[in-house]
Formats: sequence, C-alpha cells, structure tokens
Amino acid sequence: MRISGNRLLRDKAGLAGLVLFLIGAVGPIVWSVGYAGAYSLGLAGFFGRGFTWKYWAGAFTGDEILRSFIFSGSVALAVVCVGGAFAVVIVLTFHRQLIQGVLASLLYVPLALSGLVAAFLVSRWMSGAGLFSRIGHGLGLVRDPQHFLNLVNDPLGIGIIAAHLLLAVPFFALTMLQIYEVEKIDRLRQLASSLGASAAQSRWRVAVPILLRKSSANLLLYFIFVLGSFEIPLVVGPQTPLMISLLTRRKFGLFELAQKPEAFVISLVYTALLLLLLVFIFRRPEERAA
Amino acid sequence: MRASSISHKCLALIFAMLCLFPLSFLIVQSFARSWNYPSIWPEDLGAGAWRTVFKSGALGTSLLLSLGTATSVGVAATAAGFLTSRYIAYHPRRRIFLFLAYVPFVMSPVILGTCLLYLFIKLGIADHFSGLVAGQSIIAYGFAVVFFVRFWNPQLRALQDLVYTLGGGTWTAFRRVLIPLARGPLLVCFCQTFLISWFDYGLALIIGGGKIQTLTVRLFAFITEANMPLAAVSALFLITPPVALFWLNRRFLLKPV
Amino acid sequence: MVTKGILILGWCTLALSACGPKPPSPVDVTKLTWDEITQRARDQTVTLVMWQGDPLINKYMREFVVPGVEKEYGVHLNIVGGQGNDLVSKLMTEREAGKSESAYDLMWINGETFYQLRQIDGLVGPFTDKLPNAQYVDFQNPFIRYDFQQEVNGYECPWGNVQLAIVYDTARVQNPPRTKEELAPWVEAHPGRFTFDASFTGLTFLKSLLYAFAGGPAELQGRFDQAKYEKYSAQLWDYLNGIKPNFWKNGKTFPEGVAQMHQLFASGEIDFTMSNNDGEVDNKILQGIFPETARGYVLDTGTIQNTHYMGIAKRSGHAAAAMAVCNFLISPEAQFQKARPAVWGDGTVLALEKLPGAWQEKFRHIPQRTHVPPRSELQPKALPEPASQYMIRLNEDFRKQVIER
Repeated sequence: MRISGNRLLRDKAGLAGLVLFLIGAVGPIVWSVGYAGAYSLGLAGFFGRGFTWKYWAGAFTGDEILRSFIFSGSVALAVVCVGGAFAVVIVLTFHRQLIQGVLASLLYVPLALSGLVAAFLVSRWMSGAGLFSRIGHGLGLVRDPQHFLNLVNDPLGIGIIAAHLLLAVPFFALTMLQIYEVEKIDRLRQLASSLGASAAQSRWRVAVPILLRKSSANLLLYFIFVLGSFEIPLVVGPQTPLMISLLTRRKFGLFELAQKPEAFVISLVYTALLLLLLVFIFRRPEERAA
Repeated sequence: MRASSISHKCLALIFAMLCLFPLSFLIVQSFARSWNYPSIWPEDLGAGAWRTVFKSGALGTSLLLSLGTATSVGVAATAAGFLTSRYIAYHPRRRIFLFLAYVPFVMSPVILGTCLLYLFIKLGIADHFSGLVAGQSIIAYGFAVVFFVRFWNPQLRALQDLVYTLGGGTWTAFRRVLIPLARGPLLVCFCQTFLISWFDYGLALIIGGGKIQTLTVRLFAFITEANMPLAAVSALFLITPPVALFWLNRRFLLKPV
Repeated sequence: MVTKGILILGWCTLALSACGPKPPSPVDVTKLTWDEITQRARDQTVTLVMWQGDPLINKYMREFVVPGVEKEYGVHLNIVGGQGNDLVSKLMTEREAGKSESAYDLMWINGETFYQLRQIDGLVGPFTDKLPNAQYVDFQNPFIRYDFQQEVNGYECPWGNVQLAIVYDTARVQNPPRTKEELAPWVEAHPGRFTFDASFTGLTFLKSLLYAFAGGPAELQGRFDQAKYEKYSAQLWDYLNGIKPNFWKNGKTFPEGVAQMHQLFASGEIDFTMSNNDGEVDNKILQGIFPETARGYVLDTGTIQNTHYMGIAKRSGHAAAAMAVCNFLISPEAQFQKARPAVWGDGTVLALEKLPGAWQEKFRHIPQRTHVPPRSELQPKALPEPASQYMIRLNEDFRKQVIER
C-alpha cells in the first residue's frame, strides 16, 4: 500500500526514522565510498600528494585482484550451490520432524556457530593431523599426516567452503522449511499425487522448484555474504589467492606503507560489485512484486 | 514400508548426531590436555583449561563485554529499524530505501571498518566500546529495516488510523497497538541483531583496535597461539548464548513475519 | 519486563563506556626528571600492544610484568594483541585523522616496524637515557645498538636478544642439513617434510639464506642496495622454486605463523620447525610441546641474531607511565625472570659486568639450555639484521616470486 507524500510528511515519527536511517545507515556507506575514493586517488591520506591514478594502476598491475575476485566468487558459488542442495534434501527428507520433535530443536545448535568457531572446527577436523586423518589412520587408509588430503589452507578453498557449509546448511534448511510451510508444499504434493504424479515427480516437479525459487533471494544474499567473508579464510584459507576482505586487509597493513591506497581501490571495486549484485536481486520479478 | 521407516529413522538419528557433533567435539577438546596424532580420543583429559579460565576471569570479562555490546546493538538497531521501516514500508519510493538498507547489511564488515576507521578516529570513538557498538549498529540497522519492512501492511495502517480517529497520538498508537502486535517480530529482530554483533570479529578487530577484547577476539588469539583447549572453551562460551536465544525464540523464528 | 531489563542493560553499558580516569596533560617526557616521570606515571593505564602468539610469553607478561609494574610504579598495564604493519597502519590513520592521543602507548617492535615508525615520526624519543636501569644495558653491543642497521638513538628500549634456530627431532632426523647446499638435496629426498612460515620467523630464515647467497654479511651491510638485492634475491627465489615442490603441501601454502609450525612439528607432519628465539627449544620441551629428542642448531653460514625492543607512541597520553614500564622490563629482576628457560628463555640485553655482583651470580646460575648449543657457541655464526628495506622487499617478493608461482 503506497501512501501519499503529504501524509508521509505529516508523520513526524516516521520522518525522524528516515533521518536516522540516512545518517546512521546510509551516511556511513556514502562516507566510506567517498573517503576510499579520495584516498585511492591520492587526495587524502598520509602520502596523498594530489590527484593521481598511480594507485589504481598499481593495484591492477598483475592479476592479484582479479584472481582474488574470481576465487571469492567461486567459493561463494560453491557454498550456495552445495549448501542449497543439502538443505533441499534435509527439508524434503525430514520436514515433519523439523516442525516438531527433537530434530526441530537440534537444528538450531549448528546455527549457533560463528564463522570463527566453524573455521576452528574445520581446522581441527580436516587438517593433516586432524580428526578425519586420524580416523583414516585407524582404518589403515592414511599412513601419516602428510599423506592425508589437502583440505585446509588449500588453493581450492575446500577448507573455506566446508566451514561456510557448517553455517549455511542449517540456515538454508530453516529458510526452506519456512517456505515449505507457508507455500503448503505438502498439500501441493498430495494434489499432484492425486492427479497421478509419482513421489519422485511431486518431489522434483513441485517441491524442489518452489523451494529453490522462493529461497533464491536468500541464496543470492548468502552469496554476497560469503564473497566478503573474513574470519573463515583467515583461519583456513590459502595464502594465495586471498579472498577479497583478506586482500584488502593485507594491502591496508603492508610493510610498504605507500601501497595502502590500493586497499581502498579494492574496497571500491568490491562495493561496485556488491551494488551490481543487489541491483540484480532487486530487478527480479519476485522482488519487484514485494 | 517398514524397511523405509527404519532407514528413515536411522537417517534422522545420523542427522541429529551431525547437529550435535560440533558441540560435542568442542566439549571434548576443551578437556583434552594431550591429544596427539594419531589418537582419535585424547590421551589425557583434564579441566586445566577451564580452571585457567575461571581463575583469570579474562574470558568472563570478554563474555560480559560481548553481552553488553550485543545487547546495545540489538536494542538500538531493533528500535531504530522498527521506527524507520514503518516510514519506508508505506513510502512511494520504498524499493529505493529498501535497496539502501541492504547495502550496509550485506557489506563485508572488514571492508566497511577499514573505510570507516578514519571517521571513527576523528569522532573519537575508535578503540572504544561506543565505537564498536556504532560500527556494528550500522550493519544491524540495515538488517532491522529489511526485516521489519515486510511486517507493515494495510491492516496495521488502518489500525493506526483508527487510533488517530479516536483521539490518540503517534505514541499511543505505538504503545497500545503496534508494539503489542509486533512483540514476536521485535523479539526475533532483537535476537538476530544481537547475533550480528555477537558473532562479529572483523569490526571488533579494526574499530576495537585489539583494545575491545570481545569473545571473538579472544578466540582468535587462542587459535593463533595454537592453544586448542582454551580456544575450545572460548568457542563454547561463544555458542551458549545463541543456543539459548534460539531455543527461547523457536516458536517465533519459524513463523513468517 | 525482559524488554525493560534489556534496555536498562544496554544503556548502562553505553554510559559506563564513557567513564575512566583522564590522562595527564601532554608534556615532553624526555625533558622530565625520573622522579617527575614516576610521579606522572602513578595510577595511569598503559596500553601495550604486542604479538601474543606464544602462551609462555603471555603468561610472563600477565603473571610477572603486570603485577610488577602495578606494585612498583602504580601503573595498570593493559595488554592487547597486534604487531608490525597493522600497528603502523593504525598509527598512520590516527595521524591522518589528527588524533591528539594514540590508542596505544607502548609497542613491542623491531626492525621494519621501527623503520616505518621513524618514517612517520611515530615514536617518542630519545628517552632511554632517562631510565635508571638503562645503565645496565649493553648499548655497546652492535646487535643492540643497531636495529636493522639503523641506530636506535634512544627511540626504542631494548628488551631481549635472540638468534634464529632451526629445530629438529633427533629421533627422525640424524644429520640435519647445515648449509643451503645440504638443505636442497635433503628436501628433495624427504618430500613434504620441510617448510617455513610466511611471517616474521620465515622471513628471518629467508634473510639468513640471502646472506648465504651474498657470501656473508659484509656484502649486505649498510643502506639498502637495490642492485645487490635484485642480484641475490633472484638466486634465492630460483633456489626456493627449485625445491618448493618438495615442501610441505607441495609448497602451495606455508604455515601462517610460527605457532602453527610448532604444531605441525609436534604432530610429526614436518621434521623441522624454527624459532627466532634460540632458547625456545628447551622452553617448549619443558612445556611438553616438543619431544625430549628435539634439538636446535644454526646454519654453518649463520642465522640472524636480533634484538627486540619497546617503543613509545609519539601521541601516547601516558608516555611517562610507558617509560616506567620500560624501566621495569629492563630491570635485572625482569630480565632474569625472562631468561629462565622455564619462563621464556629470552636472551638478556643487560651487560652482566655492569650488574651488581649478586645479580651477576644469579644470571650465571640460570639453568643452562641443554637442547641447543650455548650462546657462546652460536655467537660466531650470528648475522646482523640487514637494512629494513631488505625485509620489506623480501616480504612482498616472497609472495610474488614463490607463493604465487
């Protein structure tokens, strides 16, 4: 429901809320972009000597930034795809038990993990001398830690993906569970069965498409979260390529102080990408209707 | 049918064990005095790490600090988000405001913190509790607006108008109608914004400058030190309040806003 | 009820955050007498930022230094984690923002951090001549007087002295390689068993190798020489890239820090670890982290000996209190405690002959380390730190030339 502009202007509490929003949420972002822009162009900062493109040129010399963005994007895509798939399976298999019963409560336990805790757990489970390697050793499959699979601090980001999945799967499962209930997918599946569909057909042609379509915005948003993650790659990520947030911090705190502006170059490129992704989410038909 | 019922129960049991496995592992790790390769179970168990924690009180201080920060952020962001979203929800340009609300919410806290550090130092709130609360509130505020925008609907507007018609003001409408109706979502939003702050490490590192020793900062220090039992104890401290919050709010969390 | 409680808690914590004792008004502490300094120091809180990657060092600070400075000077010492480039970055941002009082008062620094802080005029000094206990410091020792080829000139207070040692387990390795010529075939014959960390200790190892390629310390003495750096670093990268495929994890990743390396060594994943502190071997064995069969040694071509220091931030609001803490840290009591292998095993910066007789005896009777040769044996193979820019360039180029290749 859209209210007329005059009515809105008379709503003092609402206006106060809007002003607060512009100062408290939008303002800092606008300031960040402005400051980062100025710093990256030599207009601000300790070594700022006036307008220059040299920090932008320096940042894009070599392919470090490109590789970082590609790596971050790949990791985020893997988390969303694998996490989404697991969540669909969990909801379809256990949706009744997840509404009431012990499982319903237990699903919240992994949801209480933070990024750092998830990274810590993955490093203790999946490293060369970790728990999985020890189980493998007990089964006679692993001779010693160095012969175990390279799953942590690895160049493919498997450790990062695993840690994120620990957080993403319960979150996606709960989101999809809510969708399952709201969209009354059980009833739709029963209807499909009564119309002659098999169990597999009602699952793949009715339940899964609805779950994925309705949760797509959340999946896309989670993609953005993983793109900018910091704690998990800090503990279990490789040294190269670095994920975007880590690369930004590394450039910010380099021994070569004069390269600090490159950190702001990366921040601006990241922000531009973020805005593009948000525009994409907002242009989707479901979001237009909202 | 019976066989599939049994296999379903087995799967459910495996799933339940997987949910509990992280917590169980942390408990065992926190008591593991010696756990060398290739032992699957610790060779030596003891409560040394727990004794260290309770003796020094440092983790307790961090716990209180994290609780204080997260509570402040939760209260501030929920209140501000509730107020702001009411205006945005009925605005002709609602989608633009919603878009703007998403930006701080989805932005990397580390990148945001790196860009804001100068401003916070200038304002004199860097390395202070207030600076950390302010920084985390930017993110939580965005979330709260996004969360509450879907709460407002024509029926709520009509109820509000009814209050005005009967002679009540804005404050009466909030106190007598809107807040009571929004109790469930307010609590859920407070929990979510509490957790945004509770789990944060990046902003605590950058804005806090190491001086604000939240639980996440302590946990990272123990991980860097390769002090696994103490890291596990910190992790357990970090997990417990969220588990409690989720448990208390389950009935609200599953309902759509 | 619950909501009211939450609101009250929230506002109370915000209000409390504004409280605290005010710092004394700024004054040039380098012009004060010691009595004036200790008077100003009383009841002040000093924020010390330091690397917190070793639990024993943290314990020494927490259980000996913190109560010690409280008792002697009435100074409350608040220790926070942080180091090197992050620290300098923070101080730079404070400077850019025109902040009058820094977040940090005292900083554990050396080498490249000292160089960078001097670049941005980020240190108080000269101040060490004001410290009564400075009379015992061995400022004639070139390893103490110069920090990465830069004379300290009283702008940082020496705290400890260490030499890079390579640690191995005699139960697994009988003849450890003692030169780079021996290291390469050893690594090739034992794939996956050798690595070094990607931070300070690993860089110190790389500097030691750089000296080996340069034929000794004389070639790299004095100011940074771009041509020499390029010549010898090219040889270093070629050498490392030649044997990198046989490193731990095929050289695709390196342990992030020394704590992780020690863990890999202790769990048997690798056969060597390293420490900037030659006294750490005995210390870690006493803790039960390293096996009793662990031993430390240095390369025949030498390893870097290095002094670490305390610096006071230029804009510290508690510079006098920070000086009091420095004086405590270089006191015979604190240096003795720190030198004990069971506590830290860190070398002292004091000249024993300058100490009162009783303290000389005490230092001589510190339990000697048994798992690494005594310092007198390692001293002939001690290499001075090269100029800071070598480390800065090595840090950057190691990533580009080795990790990313």
